[in-house]
Amino acid sequence: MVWFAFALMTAAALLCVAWPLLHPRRRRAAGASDVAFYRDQLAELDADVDRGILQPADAEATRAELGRRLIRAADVTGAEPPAGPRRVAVALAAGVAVLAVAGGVYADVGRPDLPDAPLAARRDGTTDFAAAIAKIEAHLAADPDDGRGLAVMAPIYMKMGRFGDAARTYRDLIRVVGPTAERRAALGQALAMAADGVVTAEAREAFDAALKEDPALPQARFFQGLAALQDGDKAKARAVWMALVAEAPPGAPYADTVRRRIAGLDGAPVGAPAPAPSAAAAEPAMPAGAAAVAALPADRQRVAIRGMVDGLAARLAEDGQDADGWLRLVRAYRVLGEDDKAVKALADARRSMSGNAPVLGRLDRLAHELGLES
Amino acid sequence: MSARAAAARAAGLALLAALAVTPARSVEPDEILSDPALEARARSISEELRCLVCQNQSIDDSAAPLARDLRLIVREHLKSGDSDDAIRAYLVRRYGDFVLLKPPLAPATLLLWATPGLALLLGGATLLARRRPPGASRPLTPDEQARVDALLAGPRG
Amino acid sequence: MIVETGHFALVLALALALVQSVLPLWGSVRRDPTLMGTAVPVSLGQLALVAYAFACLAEAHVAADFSLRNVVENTHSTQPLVYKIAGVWGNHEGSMLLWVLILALFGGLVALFGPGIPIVLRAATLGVQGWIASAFLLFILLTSDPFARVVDPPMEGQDLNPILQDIGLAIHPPLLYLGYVGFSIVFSFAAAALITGRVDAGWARFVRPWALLAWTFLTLGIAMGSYWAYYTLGWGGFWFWDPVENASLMPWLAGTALLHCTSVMEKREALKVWTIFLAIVTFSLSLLGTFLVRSGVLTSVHSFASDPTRGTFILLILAVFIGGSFALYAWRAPMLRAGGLFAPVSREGALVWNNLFLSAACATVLVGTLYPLALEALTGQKISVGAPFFNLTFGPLLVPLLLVVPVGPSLAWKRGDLLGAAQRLTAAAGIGLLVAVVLLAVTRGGPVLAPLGAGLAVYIVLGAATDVALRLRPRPMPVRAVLERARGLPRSAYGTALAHAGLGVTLLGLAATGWGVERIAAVTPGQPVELGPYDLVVTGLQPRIGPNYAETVAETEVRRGGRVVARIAPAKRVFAARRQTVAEAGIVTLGLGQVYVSLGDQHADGTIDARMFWKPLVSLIWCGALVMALGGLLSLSDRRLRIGLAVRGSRPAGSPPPARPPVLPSPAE
Repeated sequence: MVWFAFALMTAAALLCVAWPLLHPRRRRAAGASDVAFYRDQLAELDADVDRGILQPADAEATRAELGRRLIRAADVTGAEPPAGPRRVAVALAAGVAVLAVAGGVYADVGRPDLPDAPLAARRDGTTDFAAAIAKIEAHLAADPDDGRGLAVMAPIYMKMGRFGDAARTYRDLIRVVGPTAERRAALGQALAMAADGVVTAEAREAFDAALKEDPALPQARFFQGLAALQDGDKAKARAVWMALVAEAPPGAPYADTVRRRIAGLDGAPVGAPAPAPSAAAAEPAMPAGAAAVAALPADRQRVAIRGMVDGLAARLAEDGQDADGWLRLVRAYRVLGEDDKAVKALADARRSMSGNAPVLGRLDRLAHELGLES
Repeated sequence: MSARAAAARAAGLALLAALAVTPARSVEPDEILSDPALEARARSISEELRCLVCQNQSIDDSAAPLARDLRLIVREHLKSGDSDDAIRAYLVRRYGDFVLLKPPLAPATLLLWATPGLALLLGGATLLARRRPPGASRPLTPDEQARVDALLAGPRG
Repeated sequence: MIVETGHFALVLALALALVQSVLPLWGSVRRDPTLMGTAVPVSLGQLALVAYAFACLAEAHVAADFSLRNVVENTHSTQPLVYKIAGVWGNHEGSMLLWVLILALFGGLVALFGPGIPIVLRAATLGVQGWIASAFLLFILLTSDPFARVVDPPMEGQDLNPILQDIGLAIHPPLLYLGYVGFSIVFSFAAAALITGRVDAGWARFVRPWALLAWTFLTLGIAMGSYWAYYTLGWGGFWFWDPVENASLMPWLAGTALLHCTSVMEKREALKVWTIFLAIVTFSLSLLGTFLVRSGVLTSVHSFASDPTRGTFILLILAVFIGGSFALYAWRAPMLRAGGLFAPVSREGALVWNNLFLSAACATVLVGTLYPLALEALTGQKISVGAPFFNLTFGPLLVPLLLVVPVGPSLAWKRGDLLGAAQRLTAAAGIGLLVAVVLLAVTRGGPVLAPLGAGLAVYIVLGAATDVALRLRPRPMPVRAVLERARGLPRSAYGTALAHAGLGVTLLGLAATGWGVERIAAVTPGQPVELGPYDLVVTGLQPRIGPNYAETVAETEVRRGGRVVARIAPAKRVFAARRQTVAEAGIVTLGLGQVYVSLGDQHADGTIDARMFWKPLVSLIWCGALVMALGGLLSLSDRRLRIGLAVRGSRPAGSPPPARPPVLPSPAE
């Protein structure tokens, strides 16, 4: 079907090129309209004088100038050849060129194998997803302790990439309905995803609790490994993940992902966050203020981020009294995989903030969380 | 999206999250000085200072936290009695000429400041050089006149 | 399937553009009518294919087809339809496709509506247009493909940047591009004239309508963009001398100069060399603007250096087209014969003055925009060139230009009478001066530039009116005769006067910004805040849910003398998909001025930060631009008559000429 459409379009394009070459038509003599144009200008002269946009004294000289242009235009008239010969060879060459360019370029950029995927088709046109979500959200706003609503919404938030909302909902669910290993692990995952892949202290607690109830839970074990990796403990990460893969039932959907992570242990920057085995393709949600940068293509994004990090560092070097700034900088270096800089920033931050106990506490917690303490 | 691109993107997003700040607004009520004269000076100084992290915005217009910091610095210095020039000089010492939206006249910016004058001068000189005497133009010769008459009388086209 | 046919159409369009860039040009050089005959069908075919590709992309956005990366990155399923469509060009890839669509559109229009154009000129023009189309289609397909696919489509897209979710996005880019890219056809005409060696009054007549059309759209596009920035960005500014804005202002300045030049060339066959030069420069500035906006060079020289694919490609295009056209110009321009003669004091002379100052202003903006980039690239030194610089340099250059605006039309062609012109403008200048003096006296202690600007504006508006009035009634005569003359006066004369008056109107709006009032305060609901002649009262803060955002609305009453004259509802919106907060300004037009309120943070004590403005006469800034564009359209309608006439002029020989030539519209007023 696609190929039929392509063929039709190609034929139309070839026709545009070949038709005028194979059926040359006689063209109207070109100078004719110019003669008329200058005649009109001559005819306008008197009106121009009357309107005061030409002085009477200059009218004659202008008439002479226009007269010469008129003669020139008349001389050009009819100088065009009446009609050209057919150009079969040119038509052939041009046709081949069109085919070659279109075929060559499309072979490089096209994906004729991929079907369209409009939203309506993917939803089977049954329910309006957004409206349904809005309805449940409204219901939950009225009755925040409705266990069934919470159980429905939590995984949906996860899939939509609204990890903060997902974490809040899982927490409510655990409070209202009671904890299970799966729910705890899901909470941990939501927290980690909301922190853009960093297994925070709170997430770690959730995973630990989940594993206490069900030591085999793959999701929790994956993040346990990731947490170890973020602590800088590659060996432990490898051990946890190897065990996870070894015990995986045949055909487990997460096995491949975990294997890739193990393979990446030796190359990848330590902190690079991974999509969890069960989290689908959902993109992490955008934090406020960063959306403009996020709109950039990935490679320019990197540059912009680099600029932001450097700018932040420069600003903090000027004025070290911004506690949140320091926390952001340390975390940023860590995620960039520049641990030495992260450690240095941490030291600078402690120096700048000396005497400010609450901030020092937060720095310590962060250092622990990121595995920067030796 | 390839796996590598996806990983790069995920890493980028993580960084963005790390750097995210709550949006602030441009000049906020709590910044404003009680003395209207000082405040007016603060505003006019702010309009000529660049928000260093923005694209071509003055700190007066910008909502970035850094712009707010700079606005507060300007106002602090005004309150302690510094002159406008002293404040500008202080900020230039700290951030370089980059902070000034109106670059100072210096060897490096000479061409910039000279552009309007140079453009006018160059244009004017070219015009004078190419000027031709407006002398009376040649009337049509009898032959030419005859052809013009024929063309005017003849069928159009 | 629809998506891939669109993709293939784009590829085919490239193939046709390549044919278009070779065969017609070759034909026009060899004077071979068969080869030249390919120009029209091929450019129409190319237009059809690009239009189809664009329609496919738009359909994919509307249907939220997340198998396209471009759709995923810029659409959300809950987004209103109008923003789904506008989202097509709210991103790099889509906007480049729009760029090429408009390029093809102008080529197609010349192919369709240019039967009066000599076929050699038309073939060469479309050939050059084909070159530009090839370059940009290649750019799109190789570096910015809007049809790049996602193998595993996600469930939800990333939403359009909230700042762009505005009706402004639906209108501004298409208008701007129609202007920006419209000048491509003028460029092609100029290059074609140099290639075919025909540069005369007849050529100018073919070019003028296109220049006029592009200029009108560019004027509207810039005005629309400025108004959009004004009401979106929330601090009441409307022009920031941002490089992106400068990128559209430069072609406008050069295009305005070009427009005036083509009228001289058409009427008097003078300034040929300069007109061709301007035609090349105008589009080169459009290309430069595209480079500045699309390459990332503005964000930082370094970001350009580290991701050079797109930037280098456009830079290459820039070098080929600007370098090539100027090489052609340097080679052919000296061969052009001198045209009509004129005295320094004449309508031509006034237009040269206009061109001198417009060019100097344009050069200032150009250097000011590029200087920091060049300096950083060359020496590593970072400087900023912003609004204060441009206000100081650009402003003074405009004053001599504006003073001459009413003088030009009242001078005669070839040789003018300055004294006579001065006498005719005495009333306009006198009233303008009076206005300035009275305003200065009334607002003593206030801003000085505002009254002077207002006086100048009044002079320009009255000068334009005087011009038309004297054209209609140069000496005492009965009303019927005046009406007769009013009918006879060409529409382009009205158009010129209207456009000049529009300039005055805009200037008045700009001058009045000096009398604006601004208040920044933490507002307590129920308590009035004084703002110029008005009192504002926030009556309540309401939460509301929109299609893809949640907002807090401050219901606000605008009162004057205790009476409510208007209600506005400034709001703060939070967009869920991107977690971004956007302030929606509340604006109401009262008379010709506007009350403008933008919200800040809400505090625990129930107050909310607000920035409030009273901006007298501010709407005139954009009204004036509308009037200018209207003047352009009026002149254009005159041109259509003229082109129609040229076609009628070619009726078969033998039909009798009209007994007396009717008073024909004169194009060059």
